[in-house]
Amino acid sequence: MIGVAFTGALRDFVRPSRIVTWCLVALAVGLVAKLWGNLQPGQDVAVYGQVMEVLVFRVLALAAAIFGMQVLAAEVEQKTVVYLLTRSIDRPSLLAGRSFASFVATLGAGWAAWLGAGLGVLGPRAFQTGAFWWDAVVILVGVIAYGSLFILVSLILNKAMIYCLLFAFGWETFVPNMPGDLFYVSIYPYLKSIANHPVIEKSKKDFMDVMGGEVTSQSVAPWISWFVLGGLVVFCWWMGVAWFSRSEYTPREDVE
Amino acid sequence: MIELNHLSKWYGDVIGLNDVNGVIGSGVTALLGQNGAGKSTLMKLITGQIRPTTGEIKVFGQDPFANPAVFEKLGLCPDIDSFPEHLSGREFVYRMGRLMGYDHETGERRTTDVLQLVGMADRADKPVKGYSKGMRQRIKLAQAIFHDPDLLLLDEPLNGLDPVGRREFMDVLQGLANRGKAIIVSSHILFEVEQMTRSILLLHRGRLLAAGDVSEIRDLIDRYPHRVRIRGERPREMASRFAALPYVVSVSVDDVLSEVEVQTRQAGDFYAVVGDLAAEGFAIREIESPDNNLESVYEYLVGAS
Repeated sequence: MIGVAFTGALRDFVRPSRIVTWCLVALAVGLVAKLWGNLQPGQDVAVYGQVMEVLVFRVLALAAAIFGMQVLAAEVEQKTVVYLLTRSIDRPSLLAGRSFASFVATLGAGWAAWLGAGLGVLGPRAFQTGAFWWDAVVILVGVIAYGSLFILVSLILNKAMIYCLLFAFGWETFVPNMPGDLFYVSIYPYLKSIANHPVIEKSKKDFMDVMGGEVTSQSVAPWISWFVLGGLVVFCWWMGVAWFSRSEYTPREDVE
Repeated sequence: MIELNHLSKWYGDVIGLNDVNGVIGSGVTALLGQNGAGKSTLMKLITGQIRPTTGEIKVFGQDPFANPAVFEKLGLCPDIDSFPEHLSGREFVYRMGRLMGYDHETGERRTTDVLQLVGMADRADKPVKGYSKGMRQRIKLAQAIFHDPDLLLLDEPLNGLDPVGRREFMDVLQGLANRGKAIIVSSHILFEVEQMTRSILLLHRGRLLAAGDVSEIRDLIDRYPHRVRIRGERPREMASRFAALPYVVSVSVDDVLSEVEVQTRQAGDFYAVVGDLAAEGFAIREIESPDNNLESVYEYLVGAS
């Protein structure tokens, strides 16, 4: 039954119009990456790393928020959730199937942007670059981490999209630059740690460093990142399944 | 089939359903009430979308909340008019059917069968977003009966249907009822359900006001005499004859409509007298008893509550 929920949801999530949209996003990432690389010659791999962190990780978070909302929140908003919740499929299986579909869709969007970034900065050399291929794995990790978190938020809160976007673009931009322990309460530093991109050599911090979370000198060891992100995913899934199995999901006006 | 035991549902400070008791069995049962009476809340409780705040509900002997074992035997045609608009009707019904546990081949075959049954076989391949209201209602019914459920719940199924569509929809329901299915139809349009069943559950402000056969309920309300309207010539003369009858409670005359309205405690005896008057040459054109209409029962009960 998970497979049926997965394939049905995936066909909804990856409609042709959406594929075109995400291809255009990837193209835009590629063009910006190309321009960025031309402005900083001689540091191709480091520039590629910065494009990944500043642009692709955000595209990834955006896609995770959009497709994460499709798992259930959009069905509640569109009032079609009643059809799903009165089928003879248990709720954990329904959630798992639809969540996997959202992960696949997010992964597609993330990998498209990753390809755009790689080809934009490195050109065909990207395919001979180890860091490029490793980022495919990092994106997979990001998809699961962001996706699990956003799906959990959408199961618990109304209008979850707003919170997820605020998290993806506000919290994830500024908190990694802040001194103190808040640095650890975000996903972005852990992804950066696992990606382990080289840093562009320059004399002072600029706007791109703010966007890339490079203002503070704090960092986290990769093994800790794996552990934290793994823990986050396990917690989100455990909490999500428990919450979804016990909660009522009806269109908002019915409960007001 | 459905047991309601001191069932209540609160939405914060707002009460949706208040201490409802009862049993719903096979056949067609109408769930009646105005908007906000609690019909949809009861539907949601029966279909396991929400849980009662207090009390208990059992469907096929089980708690229906998020219970796939109950959903296997239950079909819901919800009142919402929302669909995944990009899908065709056939694709929508097929997908809903697959989520009931059917394999691809059986799913396709059942989809074709139920679309045929609801009269949508020739139009089901177009996107839902281009459908008329009637077509959308049929598709909702198709997904509800896909798995041949023992219990079918229809929330305001006739909303927005044209007269022909209503007739056809009711014929489909009658066919299902004749096959022994239990059907619960919720509506606030009384004359519609009256054509489907005499068995009603009447809700008002979250309370179950009455349950049973319409005529039995009407008989119980003996403090409300039966009303009868008679149209014919010489209404004032007719009125004086009616006023002399001991079981007639009130008489009023409308000269413009040439109509007499009578309230009587003994409808059978009164109709015999009306027959006598017709034989005497009073040229009675029309006899109407609003009390035989479900609307009257509804108004009486709501007014009395």
